[in-house]
Amino acid sequence: MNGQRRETEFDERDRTESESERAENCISSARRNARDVISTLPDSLLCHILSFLPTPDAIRTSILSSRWRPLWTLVPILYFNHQDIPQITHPLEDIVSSIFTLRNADAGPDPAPIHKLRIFLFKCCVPTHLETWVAASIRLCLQELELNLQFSKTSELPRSIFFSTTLAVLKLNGDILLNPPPSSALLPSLKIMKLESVSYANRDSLSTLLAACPFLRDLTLKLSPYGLRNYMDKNAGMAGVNAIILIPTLKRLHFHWPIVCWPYKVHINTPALEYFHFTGVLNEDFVLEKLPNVVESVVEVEKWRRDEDYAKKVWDFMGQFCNVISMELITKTAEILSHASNRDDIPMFHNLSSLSFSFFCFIEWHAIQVLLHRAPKLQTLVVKPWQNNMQRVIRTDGYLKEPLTVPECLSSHLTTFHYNQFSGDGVEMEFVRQLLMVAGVLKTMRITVTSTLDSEVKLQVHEKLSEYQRSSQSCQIAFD
Amino acid sequence: MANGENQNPNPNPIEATPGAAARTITLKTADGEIFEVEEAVAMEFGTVKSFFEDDAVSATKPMPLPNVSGSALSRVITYCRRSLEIRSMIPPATSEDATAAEAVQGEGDLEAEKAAKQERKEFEAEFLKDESNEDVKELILAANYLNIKELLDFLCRSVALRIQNKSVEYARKFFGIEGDYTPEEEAQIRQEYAWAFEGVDED
Repeated sequence: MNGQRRETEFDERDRTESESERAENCISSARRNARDVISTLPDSLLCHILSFLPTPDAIRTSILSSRWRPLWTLVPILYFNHQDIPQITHPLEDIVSSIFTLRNADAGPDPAPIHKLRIFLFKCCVPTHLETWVAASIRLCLQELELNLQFSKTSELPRSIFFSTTLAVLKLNGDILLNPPPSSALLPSLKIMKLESVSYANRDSLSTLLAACPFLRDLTLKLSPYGLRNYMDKNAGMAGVNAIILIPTLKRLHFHWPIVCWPYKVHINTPALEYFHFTGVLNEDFVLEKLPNVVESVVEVEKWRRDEDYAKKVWDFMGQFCNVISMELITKTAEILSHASNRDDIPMFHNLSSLSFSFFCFIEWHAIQVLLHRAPKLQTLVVKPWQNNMQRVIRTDGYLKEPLTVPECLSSHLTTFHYNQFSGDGVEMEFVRQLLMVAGVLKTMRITVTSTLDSEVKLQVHEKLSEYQRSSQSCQIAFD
Repeated sequence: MANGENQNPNPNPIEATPGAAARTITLKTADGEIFEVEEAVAMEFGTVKSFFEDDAVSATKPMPLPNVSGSALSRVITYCRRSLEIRSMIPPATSEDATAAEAVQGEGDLEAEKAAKQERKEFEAEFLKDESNEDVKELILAANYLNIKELLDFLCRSVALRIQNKSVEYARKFFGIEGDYTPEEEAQIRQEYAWAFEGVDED
């Protein structure tokens, strides 16, 4: 950061004075001016302050005094978000380009590195610009790239990215096309990658990119229905992006593939995985290898078919991470599972300690009970609010027949139960009543009522709940 | 209102009963003040941590901190203590580098996380409420010297927020900076970065 700095063009007065001398003068004049304490901080700390500002704000500080002039160019972060400056009339892509130009011009022959580049644009046309920005940043040791382009012309991600040896974080969202070169791409430092609603050039683009990231730790893949609108291979017939994820170092995977119709191949082999969030369908070409180290999972299987075979598939899918400690089943997952809950070969979840799910029409309870029979150590059970804003169906308590055998975990392990968005209707009350009857070691039952509940009714519900017979002497009911 | 939340079985290490065997570390500031700090808090200071990791014998003598004044250190200790308390409100969350053992996150943790976030927000707002620019500068230098990333980031972020989206005049007044450009120089800069000066708050 120190070293020779080229004189600024505006340095009319002191052509002979080098910039470091000027900085020194400014610091001592700041010291003389007792009020200006901030400028006495060393460059590195002033730059640290500027690193928390969006780049336009950092640039503005160059006018504070000559001491501050070059500081913004020393900050290794360029962050530009159109939302910060809605009043700007200049075309946004031109502004970003001018930032790069000015940074190079003001910084002299040895510009400071760019570690983070974060650009959020909308309604822009950036294809040619993007190549320049990315190439310039990679030359300056780019470690983190975040690009979010909305309602813009689709830009292909510059090839230079696929060969960066310093890039550790890559986050892409929106109108960006991925077309990685087959076999030669390599991103040895990449640890975190997040691809949201981006486009792929062909069926294998994603797999090619993943194969280039052998040391990835954290991967988020969110495909949108528009992800294939820029398919270059017009002869591909039915479009579909394959996801072949074979990464031995991967610890976190967030896989969001809500497409039903288009055929695609998925193969996940990530034995080190610890966190698995899955949203999608389990079609014919879906292969999930064993995930023995997953401790936390969120499962949102979409309802593709409503039959026993599909339900079996989902049970087997979950069995691949049967060592899980904390699991959440979202929306229709529990309902799907209930279509095949009479099997004998449902996997055991020996370590499952915390389970969350939602009730839509209470058919889910059947599947949950089956799961509870397979989770002997369960301690925490949570009923989460239903995800959609759909009106709940009229429920009957037909699904609440008391079981012949109570799952062991309910009677001897369950210590915490939390029901969210409790409405106090007949079915829910009956459910809670049954639970209180069998939960032998329950310590806390927490009921959170829906905000629409009348306070009169709320009181009645609370009273009624308190009167229910409790199997556990130490059970406290928390009501809010 | 929420009540009867999960009991946190782990006693806060900072609030150990007085007289209990909580190890303390002695620090001596530039102006000769001596501070006895709980080990857990002192280990938040990167410089202290590496000092004791390198040389366990010196645990008996007070560690000198020639670049930190007593008043600054006192504020720093307050911050780190409180920060540790707030962090102990939530079990370690899953992160990119978490081990399997740390990765458990049950439902109760999301509530705890929200509560902790809120507490931190309130505490941080209160912490800097009455500090002058001089105080903040001293704290920044102390946090930098002691190598306390969380505190340094918080302080720098707070200073940055004060001038974000504000006009140059405001920033100059706030920092007490005397501009030293000639009118021509200033005009040239304003022209070059014209878009950056569009529409910011005048106060």
